[in-house]
Amino acid sequence: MSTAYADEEVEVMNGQLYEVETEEAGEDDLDVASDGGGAADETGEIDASSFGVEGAPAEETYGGLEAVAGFDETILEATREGLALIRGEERLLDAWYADLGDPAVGLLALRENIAEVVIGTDDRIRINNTTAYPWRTICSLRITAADGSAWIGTGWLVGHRTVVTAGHCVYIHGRGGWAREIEVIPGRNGSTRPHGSCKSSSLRSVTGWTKDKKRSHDYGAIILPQSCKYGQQLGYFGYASYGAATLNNMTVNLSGYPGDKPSGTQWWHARKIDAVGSRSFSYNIDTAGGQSGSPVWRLKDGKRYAVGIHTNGSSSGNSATRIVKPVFDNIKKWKAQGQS
Amino acid sequence: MQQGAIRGRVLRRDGSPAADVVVMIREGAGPFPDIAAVTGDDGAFGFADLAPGAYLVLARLETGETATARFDVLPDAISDQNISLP
Repeated sequence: MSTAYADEEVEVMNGQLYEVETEEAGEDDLDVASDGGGAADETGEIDASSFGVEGAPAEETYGGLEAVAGFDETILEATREGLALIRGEERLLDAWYADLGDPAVGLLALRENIAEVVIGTDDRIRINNTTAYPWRTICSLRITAADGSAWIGTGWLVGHRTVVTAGHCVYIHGRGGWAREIEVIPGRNGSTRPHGSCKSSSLRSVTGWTKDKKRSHDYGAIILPQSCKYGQQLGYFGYASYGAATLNNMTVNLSGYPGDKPSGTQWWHARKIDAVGSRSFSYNIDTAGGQSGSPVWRLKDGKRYAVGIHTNGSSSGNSATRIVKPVFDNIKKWKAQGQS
Repeated sequence: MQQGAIRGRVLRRDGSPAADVVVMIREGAGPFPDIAAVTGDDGAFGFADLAPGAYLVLARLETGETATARFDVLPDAISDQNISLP
């Protein structure tokens, strides 16, 4: 007999429910304050075991950062407050001056009420070589919702035919639910599609998102058709579930397709995780609309482990759905569904 | 907390709706999904399930031109206005 985690019942697009064999529901949410941190609640790592036919990355990597030219590593130590002071206020005032009149009033209102998702100086870096690993495994998504509206997001290959993304990319509340269709474009570089694209209507998420709209359960996946074994060709990400103590202050990388940049271009950024919750974590990594679903990953000993799925901009820190055990287990199952 | 929503249309200078414009929440009072809308022929966009407060919405054309608009989201209400392109 199997018992599902509360809200972790996996749901597929055709409405069929099946239970995930798991622990008792009460153990779903990790108690960060009492678990003592460290390795006790770490589930483990699934290696990025394949670089695909295309082969391994050629660049050396160092520390936890991808080797992307032009990135100032010293910024990793900057706090959110420090970054806010560094950037010029002029851009902020441009948006508000006409509306509020007095710049001083505008600035005060801005600080009190608005926080940005691009924090400090915008030092996001464009990835030009999207045919290299791991960039080629990150996918631009063009989403058609059930009501016909169009959206853009990001996903990442976790297996031969499985693309992980945000729950709200595959199931859009208020727009008819399950997306009608998603076009997946791995390694897209502007108008260039080095590996073409594939469309899918085979989508996955969990009832905690589809029925209860819980931010904590905002994750999902796309299973590509048999004719689209991108992961076999290009490789894919590993993923891991770590304890809060391990995640706290971890240097993480994030790359995706922001809508505030030229269409279809991939942009990378990196920072330390600055707050860890039971099902999410936050960071000062700059993001913009279109990056929902981006991988947030740890680079360790030359291997990439996704530790979260980027979902939100917020005044308290841009944030990801944390890969905790039930999320880890579901990604594993979805990967298996797309591995043949 | 009761949440609100944002909606509107992106309009060209002549008042006609603008299609294929990427629209996203740029800044906001509460957490918001980092998914971006792409307008259809009617220029329409919308974002739901937002905490009350002020939001800055950015519209970006393929050309790189942008336009912004401020929305004040109230509980259980829709903040409705258009974004006019330069």
